[in-house]
Amino acid sequence: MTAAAASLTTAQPARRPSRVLGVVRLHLVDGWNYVFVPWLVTGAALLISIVIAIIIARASGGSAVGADGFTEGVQFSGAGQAMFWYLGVIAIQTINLALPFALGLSVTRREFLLGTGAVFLGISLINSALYTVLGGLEELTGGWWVGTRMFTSLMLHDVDPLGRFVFFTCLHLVVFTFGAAMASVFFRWKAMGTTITIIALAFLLVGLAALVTFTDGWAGIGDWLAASGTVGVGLWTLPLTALCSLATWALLSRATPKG
Amino acid sequence: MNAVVEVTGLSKRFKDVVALDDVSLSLHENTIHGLLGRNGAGKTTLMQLLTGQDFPPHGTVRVFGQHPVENAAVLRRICFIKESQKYPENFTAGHVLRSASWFYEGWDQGFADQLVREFRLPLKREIKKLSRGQLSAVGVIVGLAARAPLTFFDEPYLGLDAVARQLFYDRLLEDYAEHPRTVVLSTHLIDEVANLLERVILIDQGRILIDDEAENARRAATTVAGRADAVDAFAAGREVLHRSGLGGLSAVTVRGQLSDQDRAAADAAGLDLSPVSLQDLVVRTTSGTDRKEVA
Repeated sequence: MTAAAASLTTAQPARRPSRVLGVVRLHLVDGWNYVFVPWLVTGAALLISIVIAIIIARASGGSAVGADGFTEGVQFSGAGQAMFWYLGVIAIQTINLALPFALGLSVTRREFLLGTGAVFLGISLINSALYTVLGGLEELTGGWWVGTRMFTSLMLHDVDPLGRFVFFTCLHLVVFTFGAAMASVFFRWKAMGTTITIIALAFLLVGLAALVTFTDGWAGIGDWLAASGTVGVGLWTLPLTALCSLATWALLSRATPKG
Repeated sequence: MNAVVEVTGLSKRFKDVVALDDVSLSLHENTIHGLLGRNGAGKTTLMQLLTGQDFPPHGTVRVFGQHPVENAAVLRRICFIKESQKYPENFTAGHVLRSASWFYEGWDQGFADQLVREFRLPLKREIKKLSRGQLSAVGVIVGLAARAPLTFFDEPYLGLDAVARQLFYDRLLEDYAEHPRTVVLSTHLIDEVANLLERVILIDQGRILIDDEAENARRAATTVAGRADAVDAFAAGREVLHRSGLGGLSAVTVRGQLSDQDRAAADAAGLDLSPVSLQDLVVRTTSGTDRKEVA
């Protein structure tokens, strides 16, 4: 009894569609997850910010739009975060549900992770480009005519469009990869492993905070943040992104989908 | 006959339970295999190892002559339909079928469309809103239309009604005749599929009890019925799998193929001999209660 005649070299078509590309299409075949819902969330957040800005302006006695076109005091809306929280959820669902589905279609873990990484990068670049354009419109219209800032908020106030684009892209990537890494911990080690990991991360953060406090380092960190600037801080997330990507790869390369 | 899958000395344990215990077997090319056994016997574990979803700690697994784990050249020729399959959030049955078409070279869209009509599968309804039977239909359609050279169906028809199950058997046989492939069918509904199966692999508590042609498996045990004393005399010295009696009559299931002499002796003693159905054989040989614990 030999397996030779059933070997792989016989009767295979010359050209095959890429399976990594297949994974990309799998993620995007239903536009809701990666495209429609994130922008629905963003659109709703923008609309709510505008309405709130109008309410505040009315309540505080009419036109409060300042000389630079923005309302003093209420100008920075945190609504720009909304999409990022949702993207973290997407990354978790991708590992939790799309991975077992893809494995069920005989995709390798490697093909899945390459395709998923490509989608993360592509969505990050496209979303960030749109965020940057919307930031430009926001400035052009003096905060959507009511002085609210969503795409040019807080740290992005005096950053040029290219810097904003870089910052948004870095932020996307770190959210995607951190979500994927945490979901991979769950995929590999289930609830108990996830709990232990979260506890370990909490200890790590508290430990770092203690270390900084005991060495009187907060001023130094403040200086470093100021010196790095928004774009610099954004770029400093890249090592974290790389770490999360490596962790995801390492965890999933030995993971088995459980029923 | 060629082996598509060759497994030697395969063992796998989960904490305190031995899922597979030194399993060796081969799957024959272009043959329909029944992988039978009770819940927890090790069927799904075996299939997970053959499809590269799980990692063999001991022993070797060769599929199309190679390691299956992370081997795209092997995996692209495998389709593994399982009852507990997860699907991405918001996916409809239509999304699932479209996705599957990108990964199987043998995918036949026309066949898939035909099956969707026959199983009356609503393509635009979200997976999580499908009934249990409709969910099973999604898997069955993917498994048939993919025409993968090695196709596993793990309990494929939970919740499918009798009509849909018959449809599955009919389409499987028709398509198998036109496009021969290696099929592994794992199921509890043994009598329903008994006529489909060409080979039978019976697994219990991680060990292979039977790995044989279906015809031979059916002859592996015989029920002897008649007067209790004559039955007992006939059964003496044979392995008895099952015994039942009523008044002076009794019926005993004995293991092993009977020789012509045996048959003549039974005839002379006025005993009735009847072959055991595959389902009875499985029930008789796997109804023990001992459960191996790992020290």
